[in-house]
Amino acid sequence: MKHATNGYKVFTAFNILFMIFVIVITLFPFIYMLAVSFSGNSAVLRGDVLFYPIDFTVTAYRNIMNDAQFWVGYRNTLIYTVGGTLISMAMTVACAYPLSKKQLPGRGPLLMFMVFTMYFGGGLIPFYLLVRSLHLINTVWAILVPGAISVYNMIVMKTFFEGIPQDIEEAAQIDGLSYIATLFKIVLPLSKPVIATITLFYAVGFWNDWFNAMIYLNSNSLYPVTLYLRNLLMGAQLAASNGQGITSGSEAAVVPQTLQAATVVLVTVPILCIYPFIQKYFVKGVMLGSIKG
Amino acid sequence: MEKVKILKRCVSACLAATVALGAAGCSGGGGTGSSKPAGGDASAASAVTVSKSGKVSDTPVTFTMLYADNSTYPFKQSWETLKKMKELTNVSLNVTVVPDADYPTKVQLLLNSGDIPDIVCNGVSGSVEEMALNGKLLCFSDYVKSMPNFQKLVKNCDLSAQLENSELSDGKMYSLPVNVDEKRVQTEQWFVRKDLFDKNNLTIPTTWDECYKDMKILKAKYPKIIPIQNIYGTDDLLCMVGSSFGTVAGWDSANTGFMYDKSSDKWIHAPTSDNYKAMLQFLHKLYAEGILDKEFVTLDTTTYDQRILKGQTIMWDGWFVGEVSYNEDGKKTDSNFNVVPIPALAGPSGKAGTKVTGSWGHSMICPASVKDKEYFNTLIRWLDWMYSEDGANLFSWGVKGVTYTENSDGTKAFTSNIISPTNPKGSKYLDRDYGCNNNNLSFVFPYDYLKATFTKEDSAVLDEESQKNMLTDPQPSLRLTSDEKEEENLVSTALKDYVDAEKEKFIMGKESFNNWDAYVKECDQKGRSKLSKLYNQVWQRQKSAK
Repeated sequence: MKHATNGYKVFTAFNILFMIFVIVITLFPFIYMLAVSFSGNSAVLRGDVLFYPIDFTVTAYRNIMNDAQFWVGYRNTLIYTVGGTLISMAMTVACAYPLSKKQLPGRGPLLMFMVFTMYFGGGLIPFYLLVRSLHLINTVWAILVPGAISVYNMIVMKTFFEGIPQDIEEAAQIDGLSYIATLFKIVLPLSKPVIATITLFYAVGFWNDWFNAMIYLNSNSLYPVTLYLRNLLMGAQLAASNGQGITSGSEAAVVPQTLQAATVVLVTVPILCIYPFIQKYFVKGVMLGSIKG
Repeated sequence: MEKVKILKRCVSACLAATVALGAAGCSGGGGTGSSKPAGGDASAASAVTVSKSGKVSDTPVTFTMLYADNSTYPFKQSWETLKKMKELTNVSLNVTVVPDADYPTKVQLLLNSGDIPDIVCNGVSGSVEEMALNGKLLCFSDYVKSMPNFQKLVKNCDLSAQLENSELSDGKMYSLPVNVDEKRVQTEQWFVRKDLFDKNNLTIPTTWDECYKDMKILKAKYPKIIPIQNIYGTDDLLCMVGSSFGTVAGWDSANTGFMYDKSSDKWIHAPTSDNYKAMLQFLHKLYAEGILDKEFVTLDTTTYDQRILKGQTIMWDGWFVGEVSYNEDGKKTDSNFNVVPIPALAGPSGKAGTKVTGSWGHSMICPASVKDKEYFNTLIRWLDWMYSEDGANLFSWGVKGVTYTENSDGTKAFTSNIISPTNPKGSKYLDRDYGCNNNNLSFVFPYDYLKATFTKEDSAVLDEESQKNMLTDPQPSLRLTSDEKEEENLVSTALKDYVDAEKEKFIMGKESFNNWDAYVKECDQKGRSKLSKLYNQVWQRQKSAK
């Protein structure tokens, strides 16, 4: 390699500085949340807390963990995430694999039909009426079933399957393997990157989802923890932006910032922890669907 | 080619069938809702009889309820008050808890899908009118005759004028008031750092001019301090000042800023009136001399709290009992820290006024379909019971012996484990642990209860304000027909937006008061004279219809 030119050195220096800047900006909210969650409330209100906790205390965490509704929510979120991801993955693979075979009759129109739904929808109320007519309201299935297949994810998977050389599958079939067996024994083991990536997409999607729960579920015992968190934060924000609705002191009161921060930490940390393990697949997966065999 | 054509036809046939089925499904659902007309008949009202056992219901009954959950006191089915209510009335509630933040969306969804619970709390205003007039909501005007406790409350607390205000354009009432104050109470006041006044030998001001002079002295003494700050923007500031200047401003303002002038029996456009101009000029004086916070439009709650606790501000608007936590936190850094509320300050005419103070802040609605349920009579009796002394006491004072005790002379006091301003060492919260003081379930707040939840200083301000008649009455409401509403909508947004922008410019000095006449003319151009004619016409019609 040639000597690094001055221009290149300047560029590298600038690049490094810029990256450090981006890292700090991205990392700072998390550090701030951690600091606030372990601080005393007065210090937070005074605005003294920045990078590290002041008046170190774990009362916020204790208060949350004593709240039964928090654990109910957590249990529900885990159920929805694990169950939802499994169901979604099964259905997405089942949808993507046949669609990846060019000899499937009606493949073109089917794909167009599905892509159409990515851009146009019936609206919130008709969709609610549909789910209601299927008797899914206020059941676990209202969360797991309607959004089971994300067309985007399915297309990514389909393109990956198309990239697997047909020769391998044909060889397997000559040896007498059925389609389903081919799928499980040949195709899926080769598709680890896409399986990992799409699983991550779905898992994060289910973990973060509060909107579907808010619309379709009525009883507290089914609410995920993200809805609990949202109520904690948004109730406060609502008061913070629209004082017109406040008619008494108890409405002006907001949930203490330390409590909010502690809940945020407890809800985001688990999903953050999954990322390092799947990261290597994720990096590979970014190129997915863009290169065809 | 043939195969593709056949396939295309199959697919389009399937799509068409799906659409047809979907449309059939929709119309099926909507049909049942509109078949019964809104106004109940007299025979239905007379069917609400008294129960045999004396309790609201002879047999256990459960109503479904949509509940707006305040995150500071999340709903618990185990609340003592709910158990006691079941004991006293045989009524239990099947509650669907919806977070405050998403409540309007959920209400819309449920009301449109037909899955409406028996009781919907916190009726969301705008949409209620449309649904009520389409016959989807229960008309309470037909049933209040069978609600003796409610009528007693209306008579004792003089609520009939305000109830009339809540009637819709067909002259009927489709919602019931919740959180009714037996005696009107204004919880938003101006608060000051009394210790700073004492330290500089100043007395608490009683007029805005005195306040200005005091703030000038304090600003000279403490140059880094922002003397007056406000929360929630311009509208909050204006509504806390407007009444004292004899006008209606900020959040108090409705009907595109038009206010009712009793002396001339006319509706006039407040933002172009002389009183409003005087108010803007006063606020501009405060702003220009650094007394009013330069960020009065955009200040957020975090900075607002920080300034108070760091001692960077002297006077601000807040809510009763808020000063307790400020004093607690503030004393940690400054032992003299002392925040107190002050009564409303008088304007140039010598009269002081708080912001508009109504008797209640929330309401509840019922779907029209509840009329056909077999427990409808019980529901009406239960609603009436919630307004009775027993019902009101249960959701405010709580359960006798557990949250409060009653003395021989009839006065009540909280038990020693309840946290209150006079008892900060308590262990239990009235709202979080017992379900009292609740946005949805406390239909009435007895006056002695409210006083017990306030500090001594809060009560003192309250007493002074009610004695000196400082509580501003709500404006009467105008009943426009839907055609008139359309006419109003054509111009009201443009006029309101223009006024909102200009009033801030006047305060900040970006617009000079020399251009006041040009501003008035522009308001006329934007529809002021048109609206003036419309509103006065509607008002005359309303008066003659009575």
